[in-house]
Amino acid sequence: MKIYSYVLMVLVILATSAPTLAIAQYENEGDRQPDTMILTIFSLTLYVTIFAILGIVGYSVWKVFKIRRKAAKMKLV
Amino acid sequence: MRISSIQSYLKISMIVTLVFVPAVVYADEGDGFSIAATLGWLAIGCGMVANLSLVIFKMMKKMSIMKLVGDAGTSQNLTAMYKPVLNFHIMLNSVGFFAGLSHGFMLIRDLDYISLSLVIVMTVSMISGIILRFTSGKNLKFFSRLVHGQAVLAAMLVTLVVLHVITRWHHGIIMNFI
Repeated sequence: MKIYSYVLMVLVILATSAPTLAIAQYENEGDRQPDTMILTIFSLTLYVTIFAILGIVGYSVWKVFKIRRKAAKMKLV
Repeated sequence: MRISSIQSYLKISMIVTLVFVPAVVYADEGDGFSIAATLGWLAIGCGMVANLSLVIFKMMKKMSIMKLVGDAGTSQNLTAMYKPVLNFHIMLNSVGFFAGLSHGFMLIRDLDYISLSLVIVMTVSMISGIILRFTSGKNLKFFSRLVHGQAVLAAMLVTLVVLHVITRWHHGIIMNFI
């Protein structure tokens, strides 16, 4: 159970660090035109967010099913 | 009987007043962008007040139960106050969400990845909150409670708001090229 929360935390860290890297990259570039790498890093934020949301929803569904199964078992006993 | 009807009228007028809060931004004499930006700040302000008030209230309640602050009477008073605080949280968050929505529609041409991520997280929070408030199904209520109360979701929301403000500061210094 704890592994899921750790996975979610890793996703959040990725989501937060990716745009920070892009900003740092932009600062390094100065006045020059930025390359496509920044665009890629920013786009990563969206994908990480989508996967994090799917992770949260999946985790919640799994938890509900787990409790339902437990309740059904207790009814049988 | 009369007092309760006065109270309900007061409640309704309070709700109506909150609905008109976003209209305040149009009092600004700026152009369209200024209004849109003010709507964004309004959304952030509403979200902060709505969520911080609930978090502080819950912390106070927890502390009073643990007998760290006040006596048993304080705990009972706080329990009675829970529903008004929750309604305030829902109402202000709804106002903030719709202000954010209007802000997004007004500036949809400058849509970027961080803004889109923010929209997704805000919508998930809002939908789970609405389900949590209005559903009577046991499983659905538990599911929405789990989704709505995830610390990860709150952390993502705060992070994305901060990033959105940073990247959009001064009409998008950083994001102009994307």
